[in-house]
Amino acid sequence: MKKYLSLIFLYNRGSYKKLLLSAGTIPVCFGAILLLRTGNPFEADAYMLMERAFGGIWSVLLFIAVILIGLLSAANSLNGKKAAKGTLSTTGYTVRRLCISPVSAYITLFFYYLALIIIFWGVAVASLFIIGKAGLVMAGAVGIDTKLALGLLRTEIGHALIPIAHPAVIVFNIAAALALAGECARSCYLSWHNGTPSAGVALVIIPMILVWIYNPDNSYILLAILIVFIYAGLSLGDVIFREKRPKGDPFKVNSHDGIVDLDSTEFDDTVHFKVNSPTDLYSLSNPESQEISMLSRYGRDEGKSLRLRRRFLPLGINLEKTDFLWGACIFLGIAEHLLFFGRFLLKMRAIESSIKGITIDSGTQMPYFWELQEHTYYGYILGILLVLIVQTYWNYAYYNKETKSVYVMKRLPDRKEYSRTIWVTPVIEAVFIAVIMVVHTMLDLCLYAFVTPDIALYPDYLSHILPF
Amino acid sequence: MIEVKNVSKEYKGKVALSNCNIQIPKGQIIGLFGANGAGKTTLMKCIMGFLTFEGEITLDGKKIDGSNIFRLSFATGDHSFFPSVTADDHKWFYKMQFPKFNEKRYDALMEFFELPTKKKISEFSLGQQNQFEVVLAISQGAEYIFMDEPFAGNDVFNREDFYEVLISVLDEDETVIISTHLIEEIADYIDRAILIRKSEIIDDLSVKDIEESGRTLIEIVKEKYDYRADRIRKAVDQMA
Repeated sequence: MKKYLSLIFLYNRGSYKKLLLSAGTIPVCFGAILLLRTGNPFEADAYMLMERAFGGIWSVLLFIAVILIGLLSAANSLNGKKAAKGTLSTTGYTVRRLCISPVSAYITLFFYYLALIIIFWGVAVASLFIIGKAGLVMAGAVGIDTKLALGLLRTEIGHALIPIAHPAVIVFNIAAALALAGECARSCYLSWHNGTPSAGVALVIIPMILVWIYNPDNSYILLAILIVFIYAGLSLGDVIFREKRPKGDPFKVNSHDGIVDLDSTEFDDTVHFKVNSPTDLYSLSNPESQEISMLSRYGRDEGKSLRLRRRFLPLGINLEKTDFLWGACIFLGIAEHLLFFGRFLLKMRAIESSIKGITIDSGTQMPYFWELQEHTYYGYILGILLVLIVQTYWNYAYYNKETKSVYVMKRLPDRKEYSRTIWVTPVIEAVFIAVIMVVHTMLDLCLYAFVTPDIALYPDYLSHILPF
Repeated sequence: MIEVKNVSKEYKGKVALSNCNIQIPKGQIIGLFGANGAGKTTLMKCIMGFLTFEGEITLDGKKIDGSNIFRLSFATGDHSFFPSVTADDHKWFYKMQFPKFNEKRYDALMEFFELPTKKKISEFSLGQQNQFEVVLAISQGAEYIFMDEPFAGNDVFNREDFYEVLISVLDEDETVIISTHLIEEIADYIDRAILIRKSEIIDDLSVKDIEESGRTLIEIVKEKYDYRADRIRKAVDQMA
């Protein structure tokens, strides 16, 4: 038992402050939302206070963001400080020396992450309860307990966290929590195997956001449960499959007792992640062998399309991590925006069945474009904010924490180079996401205008394309 | 010339530097000596502008800031290089960023230390990393080269050879400020010794001063630091 606890506490002691901070952020966020949306609680109207304060998607998004940040902190800590070394195997050495089997390590971490998720969940429910009650008391409400209970269950966040009247959501929540814990554990596991940490957390989070925000029918929830379960199965299967691979198995040492020659079972340290090279930093005009060798060394001969973005990234920063964040933010935006497509298809089905010759049943017109677009930009907005905040921080932390290259950067004759390589790329990435958002909206508009039968469109539909 | 006037620095109430005053003209090799925690690194970081401080530090009468900081280079034990790229990549980076980067000197020093050029710096041994840090600082083309414990992890032959090479490659107007504990090794190569003790500069000796005193540098240092020769005997007796 001691060695399993060592696995967690040895490598996770660095993150406990961040975890506490993340957990503490939840009540702060909910408190801020209450104040922002209802104003001074002493002067606020007690009627539907909970619904007004916590209704809508912001509480849900904040909760998911905080839980993700908390889990990422734990994952970073468990993966070890590997970024500066350029390899991904630091913790793996210790796992081997503790003689823990890989599957045991995976399961230990799985339960650890599950405990973290449950703690975050509990803190969120308790915060909603306490802040809600305090708000109602200050607003001078009568029948506080009833208002609190009913109010909580009517809000999206309450519905998501305490879905007592919706068995399908309960099952979904259990599946999502298990899948999330499993995916985080797998991410650590893959890192120890010198692999790329898994991007699969996003595949659990996206259904969670969609189910929690839109409260869809049971059939959709069941579909989401199915996706998450299949995914979790694949994820676990992946771990087991990897165990059977003879090549590069870092855990061979576990079959031995006593001192063994670790060199013979060492990780493949030649596997490195891609980093930003001078070729990307400076468009070297001379295409001589130097440049070619650098390109091939870093596996960076895929063209010039991403050069501009890389020009403004710190030299030697982990490109895989950066690319992953950017890709995940784009994916988040596109996935959430697909809600328009779902709404449009449902409406089209209704329209097709109600067209009779050249007439259409009353009340089955295609809604205005903007009505279908409503609430479909949160993913893009969140993606833009994430990329701006997280990438900027990563660039800063690379210079100041992962390495001490800040000592060089602050001595450069080009005084703006240091700050430029911190904030320009996040801005470029955010602009790129915004461009995708615009293109996506244009595609939606084309779909809306050209696929919808003319008879189903309002005559003034063109004047309602924008929300104003 | 770098002038340090009445510089003091505190870390959370703990004094790290107290009213320091020194002048660093061009063309000298200066040894900065002191026990661990005396304030050597803090003084260097204050000069480089990496730390805030009270007092004034100027370079040719002008405050050291972004406009003239490139005239200074810094080899630190914290390592200011980019660990996940190769030595060659660093060369490119420095070439692009520092107009006065001395490529010839860089290549010669890389060859002298036998450092691999196509290997990531994170894969270097600690000694090699320290050597590489020094190579970059010397090749940057700076007029004032600061080195903080540059020889950790290097064997004695490498160090002695390096002093010889350093003396020969430096231009007349280049200044080197070395902070090290290897006083005896470096004594023959420096023009001046600055002694720091408990956050204060307690002495500033030229080679002439040392010669005139009739003692060696290490003897002077031991005296200034109240070195107690009997402490070894005491410790051994206690353990016996």
